[in-house]
Amino acid sequence: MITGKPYPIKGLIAYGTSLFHTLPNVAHTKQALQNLDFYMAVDTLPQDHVAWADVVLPEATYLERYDELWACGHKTPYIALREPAVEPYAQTKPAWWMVRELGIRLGLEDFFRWQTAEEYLNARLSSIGLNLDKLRAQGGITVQPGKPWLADFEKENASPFATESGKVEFYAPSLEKSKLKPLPEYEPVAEPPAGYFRLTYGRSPVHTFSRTQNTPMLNELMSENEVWVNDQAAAQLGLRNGDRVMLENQDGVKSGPIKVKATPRIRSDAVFIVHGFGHDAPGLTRAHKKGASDAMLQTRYTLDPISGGAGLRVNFVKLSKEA
Amino acid sequence: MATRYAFSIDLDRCIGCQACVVACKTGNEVPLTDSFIAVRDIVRGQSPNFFGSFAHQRCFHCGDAACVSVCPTGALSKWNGLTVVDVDKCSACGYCTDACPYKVPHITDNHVSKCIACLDLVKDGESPWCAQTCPSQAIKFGEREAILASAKTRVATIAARYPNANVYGETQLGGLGLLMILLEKPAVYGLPEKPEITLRLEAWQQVVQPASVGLTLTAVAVTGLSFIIARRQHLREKAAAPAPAETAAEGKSAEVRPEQSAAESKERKENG
Repeated sequence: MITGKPYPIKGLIAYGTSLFHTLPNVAHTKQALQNLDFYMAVDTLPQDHVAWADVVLPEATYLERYDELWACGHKTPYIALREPAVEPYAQTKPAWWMVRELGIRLGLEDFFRWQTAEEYLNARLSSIGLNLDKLRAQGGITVQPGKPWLADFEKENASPFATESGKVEFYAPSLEKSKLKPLPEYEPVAEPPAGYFRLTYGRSPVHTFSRTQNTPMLNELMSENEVWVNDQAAAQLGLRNGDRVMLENQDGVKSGPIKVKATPRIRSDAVFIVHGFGHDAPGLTRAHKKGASDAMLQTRYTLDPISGGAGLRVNFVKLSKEA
Repeated sequence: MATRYAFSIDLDRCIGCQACVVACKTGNEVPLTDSFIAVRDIVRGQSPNFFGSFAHQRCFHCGDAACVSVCPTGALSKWNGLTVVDVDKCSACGYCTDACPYKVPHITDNHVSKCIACLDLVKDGESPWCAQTCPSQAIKFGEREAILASAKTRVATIAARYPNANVYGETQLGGLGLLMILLEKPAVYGLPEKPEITLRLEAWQQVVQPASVGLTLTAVAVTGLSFIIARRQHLREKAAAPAPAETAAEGKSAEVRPEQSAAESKERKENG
């Protein structure tokens, strides 16, 4: 979106994705959005990125809409219904409705055979001899008899692993063919420069991603994140529990202010913050400007040469007491 | 013998997720800013040698419940081992908040607030919200004997990892209705090994409360007596003068009237 290569991207629809919290390097994301001709956001919340959209379609929450059946193929497989408990708030609509209405206006009506979510779900359930009423009557869930996952493979004398050896490969000859190390080796990562800590991040059981910080009851339990600093390292910096500091990364990007949590629970060369805070959107009245954002401070990332996964814990921050 | 219920909280299993808090608040419709239960993490010591766990602040459902003893209105009472609340009876006096050795009950919105053991669910044979919700099955609810036995089994199981593990609440305050499976000695969790109902409280129970009851009864008696006297006086005054027709409906004055008129006519005759 920034380089226009291999081809230019001129339109974007963000659905239920908090672009400024999900992706690292927020400044980069904003630059990419500025290159678009059209940007539409579908969300249940007035998140930061929503304010950047040309068109905003407010979505009904999961308690106000039907969703796809929840089909779970675990040890005990089950199919569960996800149905509305209350009517949608104001003019909000479920996303399936938005997509269908847009499709019809684009002359794609043939692709939307079902007029309502109920109709669609009934069609799906009919393949296992069920319908919505029957599923509701049995509590909204149908549990299938489980069977050992390998049974099907054993019957056909096949392996569930798509490897040459048919086994779990710690040493993968297929990687060798791609000129990659067949047995990945640990490569040391850069150490934090003097005065900086490695910025690590993670979750709190109270919050889900960056979308529950404004929920009244959860906000009450945890209204802001704290920066965990090793107790002895904090003492050396003259920082105490509850002090407010700004976090500034190796590229001069700042986030905060954020409360210090001096704790023995973290090593002395790293700090930790819970992901999902530091919201800029004024519409999130409770979460607005509370705590610091890890995504904002992750101006750098590294890509794993084999999987392509992004490593984000390669950023360093220093703590400065709020004036 | 009546059933005695109890909770247990296993701090080896608790992950501090606060799902119990949210379940309690939604299930019991506890307003925002208030809560019956709270979970906070505790850390003792400094790096690299430290101990971390979770502390639960909530009603212990004491066998000898100080809050029940001091409650002047009966808003707090015992039901099958549980300390239950009737907010309609609460006068918000706050004696329970002072009496509780664990500082659990608090006054909010002009009434007492604390764990109500989800009485409606328990009476329907279900577990309280916190126990139903706990994703790591750290909170259990059931008959106290079984809960205590399983708590002891858990302590034995984790003894290799936590040599100081213990069941808190087996004997304290008449046996608590919330047994804590602690990983360390009670003091580490800020819990008193031998909680006591204070002397002041004993005095309250045995002297002040009976005395106040005595005074109340005296006051009632005096009021009653003065009422009777006043009533008698009132009737006598009424008897002295003819009652107006509208108020004559009352039994006694109606009875009085004929005599009265007879007396009047007799008087007139004599005078005439």
